[in-house]
Amino acid sequence: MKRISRNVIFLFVLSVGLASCTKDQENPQLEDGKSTIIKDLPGDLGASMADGVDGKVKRPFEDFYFRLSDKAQIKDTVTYAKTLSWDLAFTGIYNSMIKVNSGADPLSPGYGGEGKGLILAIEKPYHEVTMAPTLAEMQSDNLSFVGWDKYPQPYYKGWYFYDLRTHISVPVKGRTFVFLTAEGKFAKLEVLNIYKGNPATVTDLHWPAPYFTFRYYVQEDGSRDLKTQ
Amino acid sequence: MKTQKIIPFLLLFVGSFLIQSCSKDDPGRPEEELPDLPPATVTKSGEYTVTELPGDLTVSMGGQDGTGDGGFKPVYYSLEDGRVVPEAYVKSDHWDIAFTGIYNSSIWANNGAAEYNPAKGGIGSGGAYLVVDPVIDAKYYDAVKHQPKQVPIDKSLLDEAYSNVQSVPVADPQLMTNGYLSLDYFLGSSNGYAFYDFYGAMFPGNKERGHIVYNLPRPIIIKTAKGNYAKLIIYSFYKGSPRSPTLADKAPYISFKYTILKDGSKDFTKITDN
Repeated sequence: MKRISRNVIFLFVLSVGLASCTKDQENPQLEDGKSTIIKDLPGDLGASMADGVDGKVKRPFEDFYFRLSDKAQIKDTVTYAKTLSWDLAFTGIYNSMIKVNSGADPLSPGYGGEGKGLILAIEKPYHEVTMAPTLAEMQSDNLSFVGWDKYPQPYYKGWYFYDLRTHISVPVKGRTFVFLTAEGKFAKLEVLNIYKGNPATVTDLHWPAPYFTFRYYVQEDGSRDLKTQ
Repeated sequence: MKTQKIIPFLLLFVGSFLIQSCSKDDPGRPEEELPDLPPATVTKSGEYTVTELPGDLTVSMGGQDGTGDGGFKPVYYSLEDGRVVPEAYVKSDHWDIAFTGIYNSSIWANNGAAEYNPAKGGIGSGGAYLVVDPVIDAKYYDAVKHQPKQVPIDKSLLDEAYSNVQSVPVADPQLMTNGYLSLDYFLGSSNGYAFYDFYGAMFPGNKERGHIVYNLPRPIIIKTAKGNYAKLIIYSFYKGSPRSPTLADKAPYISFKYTILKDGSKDFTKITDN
């Protein structure tokens, strides 16, 4: 009897363990064999919007850059701002405003440099975005950056909403960003989460953040083909 | 503006725009239901002063209970007639400037053709433009940090910037219709008409001096709903227009000065008797 019950308990624990494993991988469509997936890239964890948050200081968030080709995170923004060494800048509050590297755009940290970045939103799931808009469309619909939806103007397309009741950032589903890398290659981006562990839902305002989970695909041949499946 | 709950405040700030844009979809009321307008105080071109125009004073921004939605009611004002205009007139050409969003700090002109404008579907043909004069900016503004070099900013500098605007500096297509004038470099915005000291950078360590809005010497051009032009300078969003407000000062009470040209002219140096 004793033996059996022990086995039962063991099996129970194991099954729970397995279940949680499958839950962690509940986004099977993330892996498509072509895209790069970045999990829990930490932003500025030392800053806070409020006084009195443990281990954090109320101050502006420090920006960082990200280079797609080798997944490099660059924190020395002063040195590299006007270089082609980065493709995406994670700026502003909770590093949540993602800018492209553009030498021509005063809103880009790369302003004055050589970057060719542009970015726009497409209301389709990531895998359905198979062709980038033309360069002319990219230029005319350029958002410069993506962050809070409908901010700073109502026509801006962001990657997240805020839930007013809970003060939680909720990623916009079914929206994909097509952008140009610093060197002008077409690419697409899906930002999945700002919370650690990429939880499907967050109910705790103090869930660790900002930890970015996102995926992207760069078309290296210079064409607009963004097929990933 | 309370210090304790910064995050909710911030989120409410953005949320208020969302809520507002939802309420925009309300259909306009039929003409016969329109309430009476208050008497006009302006009938001809000239310079006028508006003191402590109250914003929505009924909304608490504490948000400690987590249920506040930050839904400040817009204030619609007619520069042509010098009066507050009820919401029911939102699609009419009876208002020229609207103060919406949190603490009524988002400034719109009346343009019925613009998709996101409060007057969407209405008949107004207005627009807005922020005048940033590099000579004036050099006197008070740190363009690297995007904040004033020091505060308070002399009222005389606001008046100087206003006086320097002698004509409408841009063509109509450059006027903003589908968006609003906002706080300066805050949450992704660019040049704004006021600096919001979110982090208390002007008075480090003094919590009574954080979260203060300082109006900048940056005048605003408003093309009115009827197609005339005005220039405007906002002095303060606080009761009593203190040059260096604290959290104890009450907001939003909007004080501003403007010149309206009721004859379609763009020349602010010549006020005709119209």
